[in-house]
Amino acid sequence: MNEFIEMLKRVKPGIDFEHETALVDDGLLESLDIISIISEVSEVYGVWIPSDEIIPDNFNSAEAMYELVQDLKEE
Amino acid sequence: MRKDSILQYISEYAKTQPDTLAVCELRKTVTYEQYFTNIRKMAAVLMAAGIQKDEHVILKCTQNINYLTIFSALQYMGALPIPVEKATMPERMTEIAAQVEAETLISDAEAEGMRFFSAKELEKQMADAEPADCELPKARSRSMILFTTGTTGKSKGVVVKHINDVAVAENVIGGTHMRPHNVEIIPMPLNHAYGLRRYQSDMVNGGTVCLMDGMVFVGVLWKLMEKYHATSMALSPASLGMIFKLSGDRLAEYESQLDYIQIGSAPLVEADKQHLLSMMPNTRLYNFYGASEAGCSCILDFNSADDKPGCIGKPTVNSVIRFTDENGDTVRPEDVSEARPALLSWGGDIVMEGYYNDPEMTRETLDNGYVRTKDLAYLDAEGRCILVGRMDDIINYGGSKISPAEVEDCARGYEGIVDCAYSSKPDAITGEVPVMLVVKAEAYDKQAFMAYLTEKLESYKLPKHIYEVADLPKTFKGTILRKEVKKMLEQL
Repeated sequence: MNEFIEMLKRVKPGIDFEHETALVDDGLLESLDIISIISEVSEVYGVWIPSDEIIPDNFNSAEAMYELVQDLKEE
Repeated sequence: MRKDSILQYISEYAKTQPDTLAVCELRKTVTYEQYFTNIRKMAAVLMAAGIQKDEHVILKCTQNINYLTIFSALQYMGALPIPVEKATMPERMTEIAAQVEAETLISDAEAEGMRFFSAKELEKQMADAEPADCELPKARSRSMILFTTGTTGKSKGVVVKHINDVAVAENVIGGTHMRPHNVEIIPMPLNHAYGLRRYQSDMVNGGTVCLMDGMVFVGVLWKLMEKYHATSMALSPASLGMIFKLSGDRLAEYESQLDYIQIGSAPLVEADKQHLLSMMPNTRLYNFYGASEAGCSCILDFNSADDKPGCIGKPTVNSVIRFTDENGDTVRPEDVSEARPALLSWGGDIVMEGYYNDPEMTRETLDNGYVRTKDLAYLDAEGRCILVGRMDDIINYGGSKISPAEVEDCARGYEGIVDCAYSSKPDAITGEVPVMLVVKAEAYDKQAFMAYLTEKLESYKLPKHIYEVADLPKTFKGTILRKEVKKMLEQL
């Protein structure tokens, strides 16, 4: 999880990824940040997030994103 | 018979088809009856809060049902909504307020010197309010002030009348051959003419609007398609590119469900256009030509024989076309041809009242009821309008229009640069991305420069790349030669 949060901080510095739980709802992550995260996840973890999973709920917190990536890695 | 305002259509459908869905989010819906009742309740809340008839109110777009309810309620009680983008910074909000003489802001964050109401709090208060009983707006009264960068780049407040809203909606309905009970997905910002006017056309048609906040959460698109059986979409080239990038060819699964897709706000990249045509051979695919000042004046189904280079389709039902020479003198249509194109002007009920508090700009743009453009065009034998050239420096970054001059003026305030030019490079997803060329001074520090820009500008205006160059191409007067800048960028 720490490594994942470090990756997020590289994509979007200055955000408290450890504690924020409304990254999308509160507008902390913008659309182009989401694209960068999807690309970075693909590059670092070898996982392409399926389009059905690209919904705000899955990006509102670092934990939700991390769980999604773990689930996809196990598939 | 044409009604006076979009609100009049909503109120009528609240009686004649009360249970039809009017507006939907993924997890929330309102029928026409609920929607109109909520508009009346919200109007009561706004009036009780002290908002006056004819007052100018800035409303931050939150791209949801509550935003549209507040927007409509302001119109219903006779106030004038001024919708602004959700990324607008508080300082910019204050500037806009001064420009349009607004003292009240409805948003999620306060701005200095403005009376503030939280949109979420208003929604809570609406639940228990008694519906107001106001007179519906008249056709010739003001509907809203739309902010646009237009083609000149200067931020302008376009004063729109209710008759304009209805006339443009009729243009969209006629142009798309919109069917009754059309269900349209709109991911485009509802503070811009494109998104707002698609919503309005569906309200005039008695159809259903499904709201999305942009296209990056493409999973929401597929859920909306399934849940509400959407039959049409209003996209931008950037949002279409995002669908392709994130979902591959998934859109093709809905080929038989989708009656039409309209693409607006910027030209479609040829590769994306060809890809869409191959995926949707039987779906009508439209490009609209228009502006905040005179909406949806031409339409082209680019999945038809009408599609040819430069063609923007045929003028829509409420558009009156006029040609002029560079001096503004009218040119007879029979004297305009491929060899002798002329400047386009648009007239009719679609034409705005003018620019708010800017008589000079209004005089430059409006001529005897016609909106002048800088587009050279002619009509072919079939009545299709063919564009020959367009003078336009504006950068369209994923649907957000940016004036290079505005960003350059801001950047020149940083003492570490001698000069700069703001331009763009092609991008597969957004169409183009903003970049900047800088001529360094001794004190230049890239990080400090970016921090300076970040403090002064909305995030979407920040250059994605900064290139350091020795010199910038300019005219002898010192004006940046933008085409030359583009050529330089091809080499960088």
